[in-house]
Amino acid sequence: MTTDPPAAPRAVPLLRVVGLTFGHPVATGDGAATAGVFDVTLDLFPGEIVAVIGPSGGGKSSLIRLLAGLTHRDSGTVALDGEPIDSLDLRHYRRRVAMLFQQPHMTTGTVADNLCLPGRLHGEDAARVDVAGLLHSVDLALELVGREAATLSVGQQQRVALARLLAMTPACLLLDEPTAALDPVSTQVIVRLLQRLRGEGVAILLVTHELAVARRLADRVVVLVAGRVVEEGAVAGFFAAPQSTEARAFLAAEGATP
Amino acid sequence: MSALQLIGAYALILVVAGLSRWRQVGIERDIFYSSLRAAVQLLAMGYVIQWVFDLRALRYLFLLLTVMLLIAGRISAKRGKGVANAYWIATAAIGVATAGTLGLLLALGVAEPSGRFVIPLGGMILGNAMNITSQTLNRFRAELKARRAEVETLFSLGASRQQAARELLRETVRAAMIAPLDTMKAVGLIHIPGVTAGMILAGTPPIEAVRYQVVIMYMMTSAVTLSSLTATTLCYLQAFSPDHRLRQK
Repeated sequence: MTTDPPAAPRAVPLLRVVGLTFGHPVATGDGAATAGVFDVTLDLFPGEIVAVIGPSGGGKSSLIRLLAGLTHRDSGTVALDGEPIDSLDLRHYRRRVAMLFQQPHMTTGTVADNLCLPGRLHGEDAARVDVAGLLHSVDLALELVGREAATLSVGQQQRVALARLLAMTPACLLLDEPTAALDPVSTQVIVRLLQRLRGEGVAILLVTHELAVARRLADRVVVLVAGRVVEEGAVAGFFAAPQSTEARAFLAAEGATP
Repeated sequence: MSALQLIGAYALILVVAGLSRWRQVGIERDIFYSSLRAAVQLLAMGYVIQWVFDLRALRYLFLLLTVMLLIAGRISAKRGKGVANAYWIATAAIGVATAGTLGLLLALGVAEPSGRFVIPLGGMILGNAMNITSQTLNRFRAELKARRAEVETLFSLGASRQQAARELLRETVRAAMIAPLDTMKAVGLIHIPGVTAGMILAGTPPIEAVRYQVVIMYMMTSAVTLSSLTATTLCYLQAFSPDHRLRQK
């Protein structure tokens, strides 16, 4: 799936994030406060799944939206293959670093229209899109191709949304709670597909509040509390022995004791 | 008209304000204050209208129209709370529409450059453009809120800001233009223009009297379309940044 040269050395991150900061005011019970992400540094390598976990309101969504180029950071740098995001056209950046939202949004038209949408937005020939192959990759029947996309179940829509991203052959996937609203079958399909994509060298950043999903899928975890990375490490080690007090408190609150 | 008749008419305002309160619509204060304001403003106009109509110096007419424009911009901008720079967007949209159409009427010689013609005509154009601009700002804000997921999905698929905004802008203008387009369809059948009717009753041949109304109708439709398109374009430039994202956090 990746367009990188084969056998890219592990030492070169696909996405390098340094000192990323973005604050926005939020209303709290006792007046205004600032939420967001503060001084976040992380690398994402081809062929790995990194799970970002942490309490809600901890900045997970802000982080993924920043990485998708949907919000503009206050400071810090994001680089794709060593190229700073500011020097790239966001339209092309987003095709390589593709974001899947928690709630899938289908545009008007059929499933095929949706799958051909990325190509159409870039003035490419729709006939070149392998609709059957894309549907197959998310385990949806070919008969669905002519169905009005908005009439599908949420789980099917999320699978179409993922297939729609794959039509762009992204090098990196950003997933915001991709399975939170889904039925078990769709969840299973998506989990298997993500494992396959990792094998093909796609870099995957997964924001999730479901610790079981993180544990099962991810190679590394990043724990985000109050907008700051409080801990980062390999999955097995982290769940066995979290180092920071914040991460231990979070795991305890989630009922996941080592 | 007797004072009693006036009070009787005002009672109706109080009734509808009461209905608004009862149904918890929440516009009773707006109805109440707007109705008082309208009476005071009309009374004031009654006292200055003669003086205004006798104005012939273009610079005074221009000044007066500018003041009217700034007031229209203020009223309209209140419907666009939440859109950044709503006041300037509204004023520019109404101004472009008024300058364009009133300028054309003067250039064609349909209206002569005196207060008697320019002020009521300009006021009519300003008022209509203001209404449509309010509708446009209000609708743009609602569409942007409702279509946020759509816009961000399109962005995430590599859309440009034009592509991401296309449906939203189309729907904004379409919704804002429902009333003026329906008005044009209904004119003569449902809307009986007062001045034209008066001219015909006073002996002007219909072909003569109607000709003016047709011109006014075309100008008005052009003005409101122009103001809606201008307001929509400015809102778009305000909300969507050139590097293809939404400006709001």
